[in-house]
Amino acid sequence: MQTTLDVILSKKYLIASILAVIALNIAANLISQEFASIAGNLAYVPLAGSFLILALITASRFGLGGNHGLAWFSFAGYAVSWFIAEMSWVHQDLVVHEDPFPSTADIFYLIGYPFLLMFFVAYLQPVRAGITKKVLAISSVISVGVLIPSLYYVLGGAKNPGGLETILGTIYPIFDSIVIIPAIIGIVLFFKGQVNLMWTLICLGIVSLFVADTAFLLGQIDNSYYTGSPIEILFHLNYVLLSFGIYNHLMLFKKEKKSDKIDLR
Amino acid sequence: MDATETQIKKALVSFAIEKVLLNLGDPVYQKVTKTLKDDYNCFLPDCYDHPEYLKRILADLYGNAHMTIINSIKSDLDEFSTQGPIQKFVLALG
Repeated sequence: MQTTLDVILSKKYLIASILAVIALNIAANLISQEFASIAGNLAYVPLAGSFLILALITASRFGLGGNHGLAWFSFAGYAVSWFIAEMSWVHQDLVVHEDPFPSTADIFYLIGYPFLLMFFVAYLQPVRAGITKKVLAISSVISVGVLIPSLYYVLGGAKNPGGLETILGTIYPIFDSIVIIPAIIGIVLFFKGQVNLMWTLICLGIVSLFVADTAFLLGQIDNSYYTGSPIEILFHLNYVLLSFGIYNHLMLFKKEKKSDKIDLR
Repeated sequence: MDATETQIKKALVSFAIEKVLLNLGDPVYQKVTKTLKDDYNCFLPDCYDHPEYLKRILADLYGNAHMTIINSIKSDLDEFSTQGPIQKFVLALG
């Protein structure tokens, strides 16, 4: 059973990781933009890498049986896809020295979203009867209510709103707002439960990603974005939050050494 | 040796719980059975006499959603719920 100490410890490390990500980005930007770009790119190796490893361990723990099994298999698909995307981005930026947006990385980012959506659907499927119209309506209103004003604000200043970069950049916040709906539903459904910490962290991760994608779009429009810029903190935080969420779930359902046999007394 | 009526009902309830938990995933089944053993020193068939144990464990794990999981167990036992002890078990689950 997860003790109070485990929960406090997991949050202590989470807070330390968040502070480390913020501090490293600020320090790198204070040194120089070039250094921030290298540090910002290289940070994806441990961040996306640990996220991928945790996702694969969780998927192997749950196997393919049951709804949670399918959910974690889909989540692993999302992690693999985004890891390839991040490494492709880093390669474009640091090795090829070409603008990584738009590039092949975007194909893998976009492929990841259906997997993430499938994770939410499979995980929530056994408890779908608990999803009320009210919860569905509230989460949809939050999602659309955040998306429309931010896109209106960002795209209002675009010089070429029909350009490939702007269209592609707009797709990300839209996809984020779609996956945020089941994430909010999960928080409400599992409220007061031990699995709720994972759902809260995943939801916060997606919120962080949504803000980052919107800021990225704005940065693309006014040409102020570079990898490692302060916006990158939010992209990095997405991985930190998701990783801690999965780790919490993995610890909650960790493999026991001894198997209990059913005693039909 | 023939099984008693109580043993058969215990097995029935136990299979219904097992089916729903395995439908969620094998680690969920393992987690619930381990918590039953650690916290109450009992096994899945003992939930027949103590449905409140299962209810508490599922509530701790899944929070508000635990009632939906419990409803799935109740629905699996639907055709037997007219029998006194199983009806008692179903009612005790809430």
